[in-house]
Amino acid sequence: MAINERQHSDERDALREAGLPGGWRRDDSTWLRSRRRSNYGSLILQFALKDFKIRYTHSVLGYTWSVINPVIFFVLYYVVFSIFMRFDIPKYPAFLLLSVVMYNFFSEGSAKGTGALLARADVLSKMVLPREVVVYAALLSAGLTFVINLAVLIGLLWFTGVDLGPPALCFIVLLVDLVALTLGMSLFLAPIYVRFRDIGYLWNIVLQVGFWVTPILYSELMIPERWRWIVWWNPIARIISDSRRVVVYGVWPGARGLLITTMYSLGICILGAAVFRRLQARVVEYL
Amino acid sequence: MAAIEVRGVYKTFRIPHEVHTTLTERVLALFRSISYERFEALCGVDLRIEPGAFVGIIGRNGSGKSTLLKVMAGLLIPDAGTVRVSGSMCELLELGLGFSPELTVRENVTLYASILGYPRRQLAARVKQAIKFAELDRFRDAKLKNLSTGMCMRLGFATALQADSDILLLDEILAVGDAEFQQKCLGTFVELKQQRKTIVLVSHDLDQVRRFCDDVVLFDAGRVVARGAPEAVIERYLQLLVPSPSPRQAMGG
Repeated sequence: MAINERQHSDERDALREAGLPGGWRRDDSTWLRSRRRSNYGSLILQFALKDFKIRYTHSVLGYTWSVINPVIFFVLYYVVFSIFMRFDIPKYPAFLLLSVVMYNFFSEGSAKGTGALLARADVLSKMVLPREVVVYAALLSAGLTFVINLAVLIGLLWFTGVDLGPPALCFIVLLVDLVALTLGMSLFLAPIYVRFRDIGYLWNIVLQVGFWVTPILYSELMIPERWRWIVWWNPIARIISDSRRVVVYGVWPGARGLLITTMYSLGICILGAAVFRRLQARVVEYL
Repeated sequence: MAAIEVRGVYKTFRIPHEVHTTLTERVLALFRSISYERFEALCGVDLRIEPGAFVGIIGRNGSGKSTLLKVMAGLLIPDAGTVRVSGSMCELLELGLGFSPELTVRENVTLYASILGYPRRQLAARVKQAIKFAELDRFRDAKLKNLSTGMCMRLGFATALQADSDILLLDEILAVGDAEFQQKCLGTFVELKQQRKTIVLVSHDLDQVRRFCDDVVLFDAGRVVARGAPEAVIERYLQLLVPSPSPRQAMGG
């Protein structure tokens, strides 16, 4: 029989009244993990599926909307930037769609991940679960759309005659970076959002500004030299520009640059996880 | 060894006085210190629950019953004191968590069963069993919004009952649905009792408490004021209700 013990103390006057030997606190999350024998994989999947199913109920076209939406925006951007404004970028359709699809995942994933604790407040305030489960589920739900969009992208690559060379293997690393970055931001913002709802509005603005500041529609080479540092410090811009290099142009990325991008994304992920771990224990009281 | 041992648990909620309705007031409030209402939900609770006991917790609204249950479950962290739990625990503080009217009966039950933590290998079998217990086989693939409220609660109850934890924490969720289904639920409780599960039940239904619990705890103002055989403690509770109501405000069970 498993024995779980929790001891909590605070520098509260209550402690003295109770005459208890205070002073140590056990991390609640280790206790949570030991309590239930089941793994949480199926729960994450169920939450994500619920999200995905509900989003497309009552619509005739159903899941196809998750394809139609990016395709329409892709056509719009293409018409504006390739026909009207005539950007001189080789293989622009593939260049554009890859960037838009990747940024959409970051934006949808981080927005949903940030709101996940509040969105599932009903469950979290009544049932003991590792709270990060709902953030993972939000990301998985955004990931389903992302996978569908990537399939459309592969179709377009084939259609426009872009051949995937060996450098495209680096895209796997960049995908890991993208997920780590999105997860890190979500874990970082989710518990803070519960306390300060302003975070939701703020992050929305950051994402909209980010769409134009990040070289998505245009190439980072179009930015004047003295403004390039914006791209250098922007993790999502680093990931997207390297992805275009390896997938669309079949060029190997700089090893040093790729390493920095990876360290950067994993760093944000670790930071986010640490913040989440620290704040999650009392998050229920503010839901 | 006790199934649940609560020692010297304190829990105080700070409820901010939010009276700022206009933007100007809100801006001004930033420079003032925020005033809080301190609400002592639990003040030094000691409770030992033996394995196999069926314990009822009664008391007025706001006396700390639900807070104690949440502390025992690990949802709330006490300000001071310890909670020891031995054995697996399942807290049923509300039925049908995560139910969504837009999903089918089967989808909802699968989600709820995952929330309750049923092992993946048994998930499909348990879902089938739960739908059968709720007598909703016919509506398996109907959307939940097409079911009556009672049917939804039956579904939640049937799914929750599939939990085979050693300890069950129940908050006012007994006996849902029509008379026939209630009879079935009560039968399940007799069964759980025979299986020597440890059950902690918060209830306002004194008849239920009398019928099932062998041990009743009376809460008032965040403290345990009486404990013992159902009849004596319920008597004490009824006496408590007679005098003029205390100034403590009722705050969420």
